Amino acid sequence: MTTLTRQDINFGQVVADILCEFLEVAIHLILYVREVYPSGIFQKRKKYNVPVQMSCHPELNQYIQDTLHCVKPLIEKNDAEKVVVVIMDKEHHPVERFVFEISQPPLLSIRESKGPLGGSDILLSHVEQLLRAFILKISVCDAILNNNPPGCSFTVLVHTRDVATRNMEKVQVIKDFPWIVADEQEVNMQEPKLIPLKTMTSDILKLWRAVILDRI
Amino acid sequence: MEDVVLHVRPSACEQLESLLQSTERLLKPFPLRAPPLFKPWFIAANQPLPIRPAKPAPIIKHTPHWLVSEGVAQTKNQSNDVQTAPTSRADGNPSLRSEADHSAVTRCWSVSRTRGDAAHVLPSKCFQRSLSIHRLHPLQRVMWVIGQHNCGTRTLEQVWRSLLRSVRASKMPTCNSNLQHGRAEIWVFCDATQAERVGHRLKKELQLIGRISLSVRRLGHIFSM
Repeated sequence: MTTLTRQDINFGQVVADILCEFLEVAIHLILYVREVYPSGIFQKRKKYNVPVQMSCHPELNQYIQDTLHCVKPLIEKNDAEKVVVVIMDKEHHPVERFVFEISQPPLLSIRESKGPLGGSDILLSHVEQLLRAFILKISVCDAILNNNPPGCSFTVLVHTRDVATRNMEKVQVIKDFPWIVADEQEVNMQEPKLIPLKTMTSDILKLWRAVILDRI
Repeated sequence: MEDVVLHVRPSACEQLESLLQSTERLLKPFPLRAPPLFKPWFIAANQPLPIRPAKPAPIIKHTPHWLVSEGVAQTKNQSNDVQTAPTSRADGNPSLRSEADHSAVTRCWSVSRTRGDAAHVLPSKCFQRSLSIHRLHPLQRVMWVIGQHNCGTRTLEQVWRSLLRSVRASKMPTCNSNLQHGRAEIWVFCDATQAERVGHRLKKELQLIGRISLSVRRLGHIFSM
């Protein structure tokens, strides 16, 4: 086994690329499964070798892309602790939160292999399998969740690891896409109920996902 | 650590070295891992609040008609018409949107229904020759470009509204169109085999003047009428 440190390769960038790609797919799928948007704007696609639903609405797609584009530098520097997709009712109270807790191991272990890319092909294949399981879990999570009230919207909250990283300049990489500190009412729930959905641990990434509901 | 005595059977004396190594490995202290710092899952009073985009997510609703968007973009699914509500408020309270706002917005994207007058009419020999020169498949998407110079005294916006009416009435088979504000052009996409017919219809329905040009991705301008 070959052990590489963060400095040997651009470790953060690899993780950020993989994770942002996954988060994009996950956000589209959550919006479809939880019926935040009309099903007519979604099209079936294939990702991680499983069918997923992706929006074909340019404005929504741009919004998700801009959001993740800003989150990516935080993930690269291991500053993002949680990425939360919050579904809110008409009054902007959160009714569901899909929490993605991210952590990166300090060491990257790549198993030696005879493949064309050395160990990295096995590593990426393993990560893809784990992410596929996550996506499948999202696809079926509506079975354990109640229907959302009509007129819901969503937002993405990012919990950073350190107050020092709360420097907005780091996040505001897109000029016309400013970030602000969330209101307490967008974060706090009256009687939250936690449903752990899936955990994955790979050589490069640890991801934990749960749904928090505001009602039982 | 105290001394450890290793008792070896006489028959295993030849493997003494490997046994010693195994013993040393077994006697190594267990690796200690510092447990991660406990953090409550739910946000406590002293924890900082997370950050979020100031801009709210777009609101898209079902509507019986074409979708309307505030100068950004719009799309339409053939089976489900959808509508984008204005999202320009930076403080993000989309619940304050009103249906009346939609009257002031501009459409910039449209798709024709597949039904309608889509009878197969062979293109002229001249046009067929153009298609064959460029080896275009009959279902290749091609694009008519309407510029301000084709609109005469009318503005491009007025021509665009006329085009939307035609598209809504299914007079433009296989078409989707796009108002390019930045380029001051209207792009009308259609199948190559229908392009000549669509071009004639565009000129007639929209009362265009001058020549409109037909472009194909990667090839550029290939035909004009």
